[in-house]
Amino acid sequence: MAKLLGSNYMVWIESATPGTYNLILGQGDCSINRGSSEIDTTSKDDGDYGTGAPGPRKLSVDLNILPKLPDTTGYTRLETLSNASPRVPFLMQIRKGGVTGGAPDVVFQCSVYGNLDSSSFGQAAAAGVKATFIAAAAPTVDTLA
Amino acid sequence: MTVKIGRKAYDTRKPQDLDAAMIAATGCNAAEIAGMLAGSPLAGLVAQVLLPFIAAADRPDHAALATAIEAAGKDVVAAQVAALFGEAAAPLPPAPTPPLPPVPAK
Repeated sequence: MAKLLGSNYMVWIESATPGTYNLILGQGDCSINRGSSEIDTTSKDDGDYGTGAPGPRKLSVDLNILPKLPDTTGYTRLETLSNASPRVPFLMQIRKGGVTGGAPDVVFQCSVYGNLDSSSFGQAAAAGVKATFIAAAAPTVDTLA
Repeated sequence: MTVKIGRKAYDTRKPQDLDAAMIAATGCNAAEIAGMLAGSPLAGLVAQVLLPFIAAADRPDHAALATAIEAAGKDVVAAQVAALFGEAAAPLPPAPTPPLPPVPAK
């Protein structure tokens, strides 16, 4: 048994040709967030302990990018889709196979809306972008390995 | 076809490969861009999409074109660019049917 390396997990977005995916170049940290809201079911006659039920999950993926341009099929495509008005959902995947990850390496797949949360231009740093993908539908694949 | 942005008119020509031109400019193909133009696209996107239609010699820079599009009304210009797409994506008319060969006499 071996520990899994986060560096092998990379984000791919569906290309203009449905069913084919391209890597976004310059990827850094990536995380999947699966927060769940809570429905409070506590009533006055429940005693000391409050009760609750799980509400809908809020699924999103955060990704830090140091864009490596030109990257028309990766970063530029993400930028165009994220800035479309109205927003356009698109498919994304996380593959565990690094830059050569193939279809068998897909550990996460979901239709998402993209948002480029911030762009940073530090004095002594590479220009960076923080992107967030918000689930537009339930994920079709969501496993760790 | 001419695209009018404020007082300036740009002569346009269809890129040889519209899909390739759009992917190079935006990462999205012509059908995807046509869908975005039908919404309420940002002036920057309209400019990005229009640039490949303008001859290189007349091509303004992206920021200047986007500013002009915003000033002229981006939805008005987006409709003109969408029309260019319609024209560019229109299929060629079918070739005329050749005359049938004469029926051999029996």
